[in-house]
Amino acid sequence: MIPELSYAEYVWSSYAIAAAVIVWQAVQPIQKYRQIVSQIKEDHLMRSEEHT
Amino acid sequence: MWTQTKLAFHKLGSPLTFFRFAQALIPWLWGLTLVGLAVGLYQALYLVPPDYQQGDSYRILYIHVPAAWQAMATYIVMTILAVITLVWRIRTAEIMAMTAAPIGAAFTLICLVTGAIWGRPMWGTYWAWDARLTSMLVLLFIYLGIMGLYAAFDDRRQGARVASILILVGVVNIPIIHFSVEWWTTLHQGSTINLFGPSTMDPSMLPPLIWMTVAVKLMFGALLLQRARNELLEQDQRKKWTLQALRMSGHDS
Amino acid sequence: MTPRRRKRLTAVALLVLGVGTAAAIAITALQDNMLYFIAPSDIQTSELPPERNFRLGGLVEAGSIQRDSESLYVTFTVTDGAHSVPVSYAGILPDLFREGQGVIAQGHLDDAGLFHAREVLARHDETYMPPEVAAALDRAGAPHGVLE
Repeated sequence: MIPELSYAEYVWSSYAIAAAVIVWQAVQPIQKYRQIVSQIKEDHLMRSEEHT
Repeated sequence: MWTQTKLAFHKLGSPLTFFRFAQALIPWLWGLTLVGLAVGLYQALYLVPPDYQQGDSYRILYIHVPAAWQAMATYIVMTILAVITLVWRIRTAEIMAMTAAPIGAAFTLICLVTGAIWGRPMWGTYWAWDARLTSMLVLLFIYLGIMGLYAAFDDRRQGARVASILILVGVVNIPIIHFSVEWWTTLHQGSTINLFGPSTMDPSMLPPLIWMTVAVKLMFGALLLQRARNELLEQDQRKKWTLQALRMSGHDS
Repeated sequence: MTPRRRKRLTAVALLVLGVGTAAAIAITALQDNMLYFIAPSDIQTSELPPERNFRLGGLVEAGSIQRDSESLYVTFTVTDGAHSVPVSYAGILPDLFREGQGVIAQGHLDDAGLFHAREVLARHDETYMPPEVAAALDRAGAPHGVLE
């Protein structure tokens, strides 16, 4: 490891916790978007089948 | 000029325009966020010198302070959106006011946790019930309360209006957080960065704070647009415009 | 603006004004309870709890720290410039504890005027600077890192 970066463990753990919360915040809406898009598509397919 | 602004405002009120606006902006906001974070982290963790008293522990402030500022800025944005919700009843404003709450809660959480981690070795305690720490914890509960209240209503629009009232009630906490270190004696130190007056941080330590703060602001913008877009699609999933919107963003198959 | 919107805007303004007033009154009434610590100069004027249990805050006076060589027992003086209070403590002190540093001690004041601390916290000030800058300021005799 680079000697300049040998900070106390709690310095790194606070950065790690912040990173974890941010990744969680970033991933959540992407997953939700995928779920809604597939739901809308399915819904549309079902409705178009009803029409035919 | 005014009529144009007004027109743009009303256009953004239309779900399809808002969706397209969000879709166009989100990748840019994330791209700039990542650039800002990269520069900010490099400076915060490598470039800037240690502090004369705290050594390298003070580097925690480069996440703690931008998170704290964003936790409060989010609330101010929500307050403006809540007023628009209650007075003008613009639906996209309602949705943005509601979807900002979990993001604000996340930044408040980051602020509280990083502060506690720093406090243990520096102060000698993780937590103290002083005015600053307590009012910040209250902010987290206000965010959770807004989220809970909104979720409790079947009618989303009615839920947004009721939760908007809670947003307006909770806004008194924002000046309390800000001035707590001036009005009362607290364990938490006073403000280092003062917009009106001298800041007590050496200029060599400021650049990463600015980079990280801007990056966090851009990230908030990206997260808010993503969440608002999702909420809009979910609420309108049986409406015609959603399919049209998805076709436009290349989701047709 | 339509009359309906104006009415709603008035209601919103009144709501914020009402909550703000209520909060201001509550804060003023609870003023003393919101204080986290009491400075040495304020001890006389403050209403101390009956067992004289409170948090004392101030700076560690220069040259006042006396450590016991065999135990964790330590005595020092907390000052705010005008008044000072002697403090005794047995336990681990935080990293930032040093002369001239802001500290908050929780404990009780005995009749002789000695403060028996159960817990000592360091209070960091809001100044941040590299060690070289601090050293340069020291050489120039300029003050830095002062607890207000």
